[in-house]
Amino acid sequence: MSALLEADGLCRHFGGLKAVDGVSLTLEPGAVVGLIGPNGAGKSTLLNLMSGCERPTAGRLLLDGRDLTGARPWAYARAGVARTFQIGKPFRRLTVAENVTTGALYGAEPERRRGAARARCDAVLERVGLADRAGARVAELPVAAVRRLELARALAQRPRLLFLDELLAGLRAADIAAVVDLIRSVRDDGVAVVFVEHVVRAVFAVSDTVVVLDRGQILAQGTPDEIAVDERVIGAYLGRRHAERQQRQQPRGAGPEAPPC
Amino acid sequence: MRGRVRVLLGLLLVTGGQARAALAAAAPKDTVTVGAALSLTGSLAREGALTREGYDHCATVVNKKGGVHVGDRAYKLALRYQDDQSTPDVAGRLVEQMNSSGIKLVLGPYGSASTEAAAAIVERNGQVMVEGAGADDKIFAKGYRRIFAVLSPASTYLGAILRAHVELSQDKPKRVAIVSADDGFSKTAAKGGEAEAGRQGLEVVGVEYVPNGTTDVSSALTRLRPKRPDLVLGSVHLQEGIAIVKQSQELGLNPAGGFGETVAPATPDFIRTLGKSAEGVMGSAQWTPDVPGHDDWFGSAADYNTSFRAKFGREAVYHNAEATAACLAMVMAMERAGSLEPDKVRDALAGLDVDTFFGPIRFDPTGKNTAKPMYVIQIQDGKVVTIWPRGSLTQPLRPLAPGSAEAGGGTSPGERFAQSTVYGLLQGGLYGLVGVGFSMVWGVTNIVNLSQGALVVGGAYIAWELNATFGLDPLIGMLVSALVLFILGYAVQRSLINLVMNAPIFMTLLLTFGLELATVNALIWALTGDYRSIPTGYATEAFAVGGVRVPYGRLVGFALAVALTAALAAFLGRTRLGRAIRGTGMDRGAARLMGIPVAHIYAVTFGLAAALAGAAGAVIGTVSTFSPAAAGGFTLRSFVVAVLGGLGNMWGALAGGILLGVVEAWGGQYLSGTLVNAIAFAVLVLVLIVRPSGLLGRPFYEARVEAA
Amino acid sequence: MGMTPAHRLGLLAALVAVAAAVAAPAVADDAMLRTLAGVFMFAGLASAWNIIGGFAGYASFGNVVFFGLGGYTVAVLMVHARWSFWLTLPVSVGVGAVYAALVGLPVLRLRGHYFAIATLGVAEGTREVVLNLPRLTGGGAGISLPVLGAGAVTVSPGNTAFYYLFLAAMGVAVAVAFAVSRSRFGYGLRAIHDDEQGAAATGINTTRAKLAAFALSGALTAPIGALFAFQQVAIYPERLFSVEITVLMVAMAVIGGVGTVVGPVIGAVGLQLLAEYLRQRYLGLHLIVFGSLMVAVVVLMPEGLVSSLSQAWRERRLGILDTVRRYRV
Repeated sequence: MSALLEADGLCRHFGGLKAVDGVSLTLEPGAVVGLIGPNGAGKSTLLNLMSGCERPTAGRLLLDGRDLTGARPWAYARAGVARTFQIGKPFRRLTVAENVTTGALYGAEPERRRGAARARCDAVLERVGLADRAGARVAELPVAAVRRLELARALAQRPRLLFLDELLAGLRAADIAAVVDLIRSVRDDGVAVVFVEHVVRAVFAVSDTVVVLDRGQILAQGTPDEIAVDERVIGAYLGRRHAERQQRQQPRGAGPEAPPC
Repeated sequence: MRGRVRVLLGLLLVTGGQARAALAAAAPKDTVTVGAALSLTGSLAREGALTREGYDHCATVVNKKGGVHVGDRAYKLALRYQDDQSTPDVAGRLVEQMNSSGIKLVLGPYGSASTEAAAAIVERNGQVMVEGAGADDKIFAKGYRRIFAVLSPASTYLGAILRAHVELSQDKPKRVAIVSADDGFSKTAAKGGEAEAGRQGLEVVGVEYVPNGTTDVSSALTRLRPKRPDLVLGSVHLQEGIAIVKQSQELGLNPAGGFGETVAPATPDFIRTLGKSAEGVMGSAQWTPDVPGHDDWFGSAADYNTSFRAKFGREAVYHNAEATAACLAMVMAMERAGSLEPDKVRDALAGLDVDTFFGPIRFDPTGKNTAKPMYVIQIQDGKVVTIWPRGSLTQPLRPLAPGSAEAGGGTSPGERFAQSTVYGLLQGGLYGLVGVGFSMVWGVTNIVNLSQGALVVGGAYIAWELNATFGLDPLIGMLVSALVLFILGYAVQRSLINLVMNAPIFMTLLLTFGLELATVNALIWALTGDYRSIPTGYATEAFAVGGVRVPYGRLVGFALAVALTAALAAFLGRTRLGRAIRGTGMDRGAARLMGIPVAHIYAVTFGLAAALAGAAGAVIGTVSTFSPAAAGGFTLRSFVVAVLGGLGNMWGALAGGILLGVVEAWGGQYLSGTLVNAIAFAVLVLVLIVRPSGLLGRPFYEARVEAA
Repeated sequence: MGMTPAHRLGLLAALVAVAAAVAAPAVADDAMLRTLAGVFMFAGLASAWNIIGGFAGYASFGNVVFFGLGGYTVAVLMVHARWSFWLTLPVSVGVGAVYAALVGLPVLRLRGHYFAIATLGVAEGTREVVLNLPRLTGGGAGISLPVLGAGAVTVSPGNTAFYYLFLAAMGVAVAVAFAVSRSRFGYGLRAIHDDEQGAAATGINTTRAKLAAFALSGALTAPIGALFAFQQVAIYPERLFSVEITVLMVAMAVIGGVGTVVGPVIGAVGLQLLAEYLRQRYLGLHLIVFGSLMVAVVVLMPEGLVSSLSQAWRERRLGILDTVRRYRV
C-alpha cells in the first residue's frame, strides 16, 4: 500500500538560490512529523511544495500514489491536504464562523449545502475552543485566536494531511499546551501532521519523527531523542543546552510538559 | 437596511413630482415656453454654448418687438434649457421630460446624433421640433413629419466647395482627395462630395478616414501625398480640420487648389489657431454676414451681425445664426397658425415659404430646407470672406500664391515608411513625457491617477494663457505650467489622496476619476470647450532629409521629453529627496522607521508627476490642438506607457511611449487610419497578458512590502 | 429559519418597494418612467458588476464591453438577419458570457490595478473594433434598429413596457446576486477576495470561480445593453462602450456598498437621482458638483454608504473621522 504522501527529490530553485534541494519524505496516516531547522533552511518552502502552493523545480509528489506534481493548490486540498500559513491568512472580512464554513464547503470532503457545512463548522469550533466567538470578525480577535481560527478552518476541510506553519510563534504556555493536545487528538483521528516550529520542546513532545532541514537539505531525520543528541543538529541549530535538557526529559507522552526555562 | 430602499423610493417620487411641478409652474400667464436640450457640457460644449446664444438672441429680439403675436394676443417667448451632456440618449430623455411638463414646441440640440435621438421622441409624442444644427440627411429619411431643419443638409457641404472651384477658379482642380472623420455626418458629407465630383467630371484620387476627434491625421496625409491631389477636401470637424492644415505643412503636402473643409474654417477658432497657415483655405458655411436675405425681426444678415455683436461683444458665426433662424421659424409658424397647438404649428411650418436674415426658408416634405444654398467662404487676410454663390456682397476667389505648391508626390514606399517611422518616433516622445510621471506615481504610491489627462490639458491651458496674454514663448510657459501644477498636485495628494491610501483600489480609482470629472468640467466652464493651439512661427516648419520631413516643433518636443526624463532619472537616483522617494516606494513601513515623512514624500511625488504632465501639456499645445475633451486620451496612453516600461522605470516609460508612437504610426499607415486607437489598446492588453511587469524595462518596484 | 426583527423589517421594506415599483406606471408620467427605467438599468449593471468586483474583489473597469456587445448583437441580428428582438435577446446573454470567458482566461490572472486597466483596455479596444467594421455595425455613423414604422422587425413597445423590462432586468440581476451571495459559490468568491492564496489552499478552484463570476457578470450585463439598444433605436459605439458607464456602475456599487446585495441598488438610485437633480439645478456646473461629491464620499466613507451607515447604526455614532484615520497613510 502506498504511503499517504511521498515526496521524491523535491527541489525549488530561485535562480541560483536553492531553497529546497533534493528533499525526499514519506508520510503515513497518523504520523506526526516535526520540521525544524535554522531560519532560511527552507521549511516553509517545503510546506509550500507539499501543499501545492509552489511548484517544484524538480522532483515528484505523490498523494495516495497519484502524481500531483505541479498541480494547483486546490487539487492538493481536494486530495486531502490542509494547511495554515506562517503569516496568518484568515479571510479578514468574514466572521469566524464564515471562515470555518468556507473550509467545510471546499476541502477534501466538501459539503455542498450551507446548512451541513455550518453544522460541521460548529462542531470544529467547539473542538478548537472558539465556539463562543463564532460571530466575531477577524479584526476583533487576538493573535492566539486567529491562529486557532486558521487551524479550525483547516480541520473543517476534513483533511488527511495537516500542515502547520509556525502555529505556536508568540503564544503563551497555556495556549501552546492546548494546541499540542489538539495535534494529538487530530493524530488520533488518523490524520498525518507535519508542523514547522521553532518551539522545539513542543515538537519533541508530540512528534514521532523529527526532520531537520538546513540549507534546503535534510540534515538529519529520526525520533526526538535521536535528534536531540545528534551532533550535526546541535551544531547547526539546537545548541548544547537544549540537548542536555532533552536528556533530562521524562519519557514521552507520560505527563504534562516541563516548565519553560 | 431594506428600509433605506423604501425611503429612497419615496424621496424619488417626491422630488420627481417637485421637479415636474417646478417645470410647469415657472411660466406666468401669456408666456409660451419653448424647450431646448443642448450640449452645455461634454465634447460639444462649445458648439452648444454658441447655439444657446443664437436661441437667446432670438428670444430677446422677438420679445422686444412685442413677443409672439398669436391671434389677437401677444405671448412672451421663454426658453427652457436642459443639458444633454453631448449624449444622444440624454437628449432623448430630456425631450421626453419636456413633453411630460407640457412643453410641446422644441428647438433642436447641437449635432446630428443628438438631433436624431430627439427627433424620434418628438415624432412619437406629437411634439414639434425646429432645428438648425443636425444636418445629416439620415435624419430626414425616416418619414418624420414633425421635424424641420433650417440648415442645408450634410450632402451639400463639399459639393458647394467643388462647384465654387469649378465656377470661379482659373485653374480648375482635376484630382481631388477627401479626408473624412468616421462619424455619420462627416461620412454623409464625404459621400455627397464624391457624388458632386463625379457630376463635375473631377477625379477622386483617394478617400481616407480618420477617427472622429483626432488631432493626428498624418497617416491619412502620408497615404494621399503620393497621389498628387490638387485639392484636398476635409469632411471633418474643428480638431481634425486644424490638424489637416498643420500636418500637411509638416509633411510637405501643398495642393495647388488648396484645402476645403466642411465645418471648421468659418469659425474664429480655426483662424486664431492656424494664423497664417489658414490663408486661402475654403470652407462651407450655412451663413455669413454677407448673404442675401431679409426679415422683419433681424433685418439683413449684416444687421443680424450688428445686433448680435452689440449684445455679445463679438462677431456672429453660423452656429449662432442657424440657431436664431430655427427659433425664428418656430415664431413665424406660431404667428401664421394663429395658434400654439402643436399640430397647427406643424402645418404652418410645412407651408412656410419666407425670406429671412438667414436666407430663404422653405421645407420640402421631409423637413429639409431646400431653398437655401450652402455658402462657400475663403479665408483672406485673416478674415472669413464669402465667395459663392456670387452675389452683391461676395468676394472673388483668391488663388493660392504661385510657387507655393509642391509636387508633393512620388514618394517611394521606403520614404513613406521612413516618414511614418520618424513621425511616430517624435509623437512617441510626447507620449513618453505624458506617461513618465504617471508611471512614477503608480510605482511609488500605487495610485493609478485617472486625472493625469486633465493635468496635461491644464498645463496646456496655462501655457496658452501666458502666450495669449503676455506673448510668452511656450517653452518658458512650460516652466510656469510645471510650477503651478506641482503646487496643485502636492496639495491634492496631501489633502485628499493621502486620506485613502489604504483603501481598496476601486476607491482610489473613483477618487481620481471624480477629480478628473470636476477638473475637466471646471476647465470647460471657465475657459469654454474650444480647441486651442499655441501658435509659434517655427512649430510646423520642417526640414527635409531625403523625402522625409522632420517638423521642428515635434523635434523640440522630443528633445524636451528626453531631457526631462533624464532630469527626473537623475533626480531620483542622485538626490537625497529622490532616494527617499524611491525608498518609500519600496517599503513604506521601513521608510517611516527611518524618519522619512511619508505623507510629504507622497505629495512631492504626485506634485512632480503633475509638473511633468503640465510641461507635457505645454509642449503638446504647441505642436497640436487641445481641449478639455482630449484629457481622456492622454490618460489612456499613459496606462500603455507605464505598463510597457515597467512601473516606476523612467527610461522604460520613455521607451514605451516611443514604441507606442511608432506602432500607432505604422498601424495607421499600413492598416487603416481609424485603427490607431485600437492598436494602442491591443498593445496595452497584450503586454498586460504576456508580460505585465514591463516589456521594455523591469519595474523598479518588484516586490511590494505591505505597509506598516 | 430565524429572522431577526431587523431582517423582518428589511424584508417588509423590500416588498413595499417592489410593490411600489410595479404599481408606479399607473401614477407616473412618461418622463418619470423613463428616468426610473434609467435607474433600474444602472441598478442592474451595478449588481452585475458587483459579482466580479464586489464579491470576488476583481475591480473590472471594462464591464461596459458586455453592455455594448449586447446592444450591438441585437442590432446586427435585427438589421442583417431580420431576427425578432425577442430571439436576439437570449443570444446577447450568450455573447456576454462567452466573451467574458474568453477575455477572462488571460486577464483574470492579473491582480489589482493591472486587472482594472486590462479590462479597460479590452473595453476600449472592442469599441474600436466595432468602429472599424462599418459594413457590419455602421461604424462611427451608428446603426439603427428596425423597430419603427413600416419596415420594423419588432415594433418598439412604449415607455411603460420599457419600464417593466428594465425593472425585470434589474430584478434578475439582483436575484442572481442574492443567490450567489448565499451559495457555496459566493463563499468561494468572498474567500478569493480576502485572500486568494488562502482560498486556493482551502480547496477553492480560484481559476474556475473567477471565470464563472466574470462570465455571470457578462451574461447579466449584455441583455441590459440589448434593452438599451432597443429603447434608443439609434446606437453609436462611443455611447454604448462609453467608459463613463463603467465608472458610473462601479461608483454606484462602491458607494452603495460593495459586496452587499442591496448596496448597488441603493447606489444606483442615489447617484442617478443626484445626477438628475444636479443637472436640473446647476445647469452648466452639474458635473463639477457631481465630481466633487464623488471625491467627498470616497474620502469620508471609503467602505460605502451601506456599510458606513449600518456601522454607524450599530455603534450609535457617525465615526467619519475614524474611517479617515483607518485608511489614511
